[in-house]
Amino acid sequence: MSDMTDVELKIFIEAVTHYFAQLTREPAAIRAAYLANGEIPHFDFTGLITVSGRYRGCVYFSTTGDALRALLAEFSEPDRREANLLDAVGEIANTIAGNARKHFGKELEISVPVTIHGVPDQIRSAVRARPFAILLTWAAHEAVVIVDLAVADA
Amino acid sequence: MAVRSMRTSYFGKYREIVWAVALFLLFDLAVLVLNFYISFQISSDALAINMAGRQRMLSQRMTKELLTAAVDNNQGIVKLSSLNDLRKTAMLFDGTLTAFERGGTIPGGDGSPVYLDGLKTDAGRALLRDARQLWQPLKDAIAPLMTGDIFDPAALSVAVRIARESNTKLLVLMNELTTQLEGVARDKADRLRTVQTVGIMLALLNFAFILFKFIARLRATDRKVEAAQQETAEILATVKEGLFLLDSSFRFGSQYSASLARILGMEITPGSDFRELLRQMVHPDMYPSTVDYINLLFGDRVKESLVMELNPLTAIEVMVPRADGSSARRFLTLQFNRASQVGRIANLLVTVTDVTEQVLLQRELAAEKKKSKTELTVLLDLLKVEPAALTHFLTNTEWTLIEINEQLRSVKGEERDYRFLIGSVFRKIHAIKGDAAALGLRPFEDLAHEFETLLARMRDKGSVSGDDLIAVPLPLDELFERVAIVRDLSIRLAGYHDAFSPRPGSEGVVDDLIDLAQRIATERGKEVQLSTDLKMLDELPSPVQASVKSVIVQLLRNAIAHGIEAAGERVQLEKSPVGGIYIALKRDEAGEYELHLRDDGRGLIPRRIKESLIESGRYNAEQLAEYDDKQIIMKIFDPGFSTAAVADRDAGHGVGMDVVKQKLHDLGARLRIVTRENRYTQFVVRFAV
Repeated sequence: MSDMTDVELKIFIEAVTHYFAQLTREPAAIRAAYLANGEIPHFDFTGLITVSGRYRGCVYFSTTGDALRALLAEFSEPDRREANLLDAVGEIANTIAGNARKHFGKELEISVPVTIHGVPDQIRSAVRARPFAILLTWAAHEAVVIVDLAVADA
Repeated sequence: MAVRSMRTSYFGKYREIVWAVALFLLFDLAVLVLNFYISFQISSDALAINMAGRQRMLSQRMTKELLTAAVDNNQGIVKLSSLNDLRKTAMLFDGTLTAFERGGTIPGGDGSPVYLDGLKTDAGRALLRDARQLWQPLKDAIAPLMTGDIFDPAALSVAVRIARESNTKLLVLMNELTTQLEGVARDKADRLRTVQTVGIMLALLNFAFILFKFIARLRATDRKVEAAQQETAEILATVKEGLFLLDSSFRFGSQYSASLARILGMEITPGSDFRELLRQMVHPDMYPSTVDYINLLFGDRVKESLVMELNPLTAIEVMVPRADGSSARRFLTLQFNRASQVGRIANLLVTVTDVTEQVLLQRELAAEKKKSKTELTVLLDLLKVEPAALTHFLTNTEWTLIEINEQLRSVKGEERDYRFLIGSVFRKIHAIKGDAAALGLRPFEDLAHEFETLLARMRDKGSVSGDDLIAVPLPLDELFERVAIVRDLSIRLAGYHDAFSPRPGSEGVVDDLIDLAQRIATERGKEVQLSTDLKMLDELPSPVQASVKSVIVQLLRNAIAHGIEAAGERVQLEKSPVGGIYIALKRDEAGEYELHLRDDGRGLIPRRIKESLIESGRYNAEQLAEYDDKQIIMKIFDPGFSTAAVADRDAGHGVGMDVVKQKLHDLGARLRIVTRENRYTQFVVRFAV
């Protein structure tokens, strides 16, 4: 069987869906789950966490600027400049990290989020030939969570 | 025993010093004793000198008292008190002289009795003899004066005369006696001084020896201790393992190896509580048993070697902080060995070893073993497969997987889209399973079966949402991986394949079908005999051939799983216990191909199909009443239909006939089914190329 189970995969996704369900009026829905066979799907704003320990690799959360602006509007945050949008995407990545820490405990060491605007080289598969891609929709906006993790010693 | 031997060893170690100290004490004691003795002697001598001096004084007093008595007598006066004084003086003089001669107790200077030793020296004794000779006449002359109260003037004048004659001589003798006694005393004092000086000198020499020896030994010991400390420090600085001592109250010892901080990723404070570290290292559930284990080692009821295997701190996984603030996963083993002191377990020597590399290697080895086993299974399967067929299978499968992935990616968010997606993926995976089974590629067949089971659960649970889809990419990825592994293996095998007699085209397909039929029949406790006429397969273009093979495989699985009865049942129906299946591909005059697949099993029975449809909940009896038998039979091509009670990898998911329907659609084929209860079922597929 696979080195990672669907239950473990869900831990990374649930953090995001839970975040939207708790903090906004509209929950985020999973539209599709597939293998990023080739180019890694991404949007303008990306929050990235790197993982070591039992698994190694990266987890990304990527979405559009519009989605983040809409999110800030939900929080009644008037400042919609790029730095604030990056903060918002970083916060979601941090939520993923927090949920993973809660479930995996000491087994995983998770970095602080790195936020990226645009499409730099950093967004590429690191450990899996085909990272897991989960497409989300929230209030007509699109987002994606990429889980590119493999068992560290396998 | 240990105590005794330790004492012996201490004595052995310090023997010289112990002897020297004993000698020093002996010297001091000897000087002390001698001091006492000579002091006593000097005290005796002082008494003798004193008494000799008194004799001198007494001799003169006697003369003075006699002369005074004579003067008084001349004047006609008799003083009895003066005579009494004379008597006392004479008696004291005589007693003292006797004591000097023979030793004896006499009144001392203050009147209290003192013992005076007799003189032993020859010169002294000669003096005494002379004194006695002088004194005796005087004593005799004085004696009448000392009896009662009668005074004899004649006796007095005799005594005065003798006194005058001997007085000076007696004084000189007593003077000499005094001088001689003083000389003896001085000699003794000199001797004492010499003895004391020698004794003290010896004692000092001895003391110097002790000091020298002791300092030399101390310095030697210091050097040894320094060398030992240096060695210990070097060992502790160099040793790769983390070493420290743990006392019975779980406190860290004062010394530990330099590696310890590196291995643990933190500095250790000597005297701090080891349990604090332990709490960070082990899971809370494991913590109490770990403490119990360590306590067990501090007790002496169990043998260390026996409980070694129970050590819960073997290859424990910990996150060790790194210098840059991040942390690294490490596997540590903490080994505990008793360190005894005087027969008591005072400390445990704890050896902390970083076994990360070993653990990872072991895991890698286990993973490699598993991988090798899988590869070997695949390899053995591959050896049986015709290379062209395998390549075709791998290409087809990979394309199918890419197609599935694309479907997963592009699915719209509606439930009916998800349901359609699941059905479509199911058919594709089932087809891969069928193809894999036909080629005898078990690892693919098993993976596809697991994938199917997952999809079946999703399909049967009623509603499907996006959340459910998260699980789908996992088995898909595994199939991708498997394709890559097998492709790699097949390339490696290509060089060897010529060595095995390859079976060309349809012959290979027939062999694979026979193997598949036998396997399915055996697993279900049935017996089948397959007869084929499939030479024409070779004429078909590759994609058509693949579709036809898929149809054959699915119909064959279905025929064995559902059509052919078990041997016992067949015998009761007066049929051969071995089920017969015939598969043929023919071409008619019009150039159309006809695929025949006929089994002599129980036939397609509309009544049983109806029952299954009602049981599945898809239809109710009223709805089915509207269909004729032919329509009912065609329901076997509905997605999800199955008459099998339990799903296994050959039947039960209700997908096989769904795949057939899809493939027939792809081929643009027409299907005819002829069946008779308990006799046969025949599928005839007509298609043009």
